[in-house]
Amino acid sequence: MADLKALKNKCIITVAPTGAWPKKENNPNVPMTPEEIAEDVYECWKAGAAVAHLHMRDENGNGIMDPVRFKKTVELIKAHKDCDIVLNLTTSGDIHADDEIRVAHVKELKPEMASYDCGSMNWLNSGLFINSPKFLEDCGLLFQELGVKPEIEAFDPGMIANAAYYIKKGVLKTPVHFQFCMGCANGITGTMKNLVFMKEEAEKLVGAQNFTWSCFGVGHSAMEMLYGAVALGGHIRVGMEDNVLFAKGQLAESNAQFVRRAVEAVKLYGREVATPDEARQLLNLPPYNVQ
Amino acid sequence: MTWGAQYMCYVCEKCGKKYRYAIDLIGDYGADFGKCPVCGSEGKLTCEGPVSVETQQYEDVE
Repeated sequence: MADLKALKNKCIITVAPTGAWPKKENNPNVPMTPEEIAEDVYECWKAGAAVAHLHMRDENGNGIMDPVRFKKTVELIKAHKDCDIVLNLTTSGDIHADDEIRVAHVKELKPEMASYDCGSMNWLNSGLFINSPKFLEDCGLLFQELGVKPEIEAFDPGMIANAAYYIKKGVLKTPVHFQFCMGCANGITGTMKNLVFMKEEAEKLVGAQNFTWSCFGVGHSAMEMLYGAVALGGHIRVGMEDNVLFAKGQLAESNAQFVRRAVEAVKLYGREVATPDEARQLLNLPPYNVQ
Repeated sequence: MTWGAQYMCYVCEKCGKKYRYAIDLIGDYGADFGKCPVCGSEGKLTCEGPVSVETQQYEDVE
């Protein structure tokens, strides 16, 4: 059993380097190929990231749930023998992918974590991001069977309530880990008031001892959510999946640039950056198994 | 899966200014969202989307 009290001051930095939407035309520094993503993740790990949330792209830069690309990227990251970063693979990298292909790579690669989007919503005011009850039930049970920790992405408070339902139903097992996605179009806006509300909703619905949480903000709320999470005792996510601008009018040079800023913020506040092994303890993951 | 900041881009039909509002700031601007920052006229919505070559042609309203 991990000594969570000793880890109370630790802050996990997750990097989301690629996502499904930004292309080179949005920022030429977005890593797209397995080789680019793997090297980017390695640089982010060296900068202080403990978790990497990965998406794949096809040859045209569009999001794709391709098990081959996921496998290649994971292998390239693990080829760096010193890199013990926690890998978190998306299940939502293409809104047109069917339920089976969304988890094919999870079945094959059995990553330590995978994303679990706990409800459906409109996507960019133009499409549907569907996470049906059947998909969420099947996915939750599959993750339990495989020993994969769900990263529960909540874009609004209703998704937290949905997670509470799946916990009661046995589809999700506590302690769960939330990623509060703040400021996305069609989701909850990224304000401190809303971040506090999301945290308190989770405490009420799931129980304070039954979850950990992280957050990020897109656009104008990026820094507010970063500092908010640090101050409220949460964990943070940064990277070009959520923001291609590092500051107003300034394209990000790299994902590691985001990680270095997050490390600085955590330290200035008086918290400490969690190593991957400390992140595993905080997230109730098994110790790292070098393969 | 997330997506970055989205913008609504406008052209002011009165003074010709091209400007954009970030959608996540709708709550901050309320009824003024979409208005020209120079003359206060209602702008004409011309495009919307993320940071891109197209939307970067419009000046941010802060």
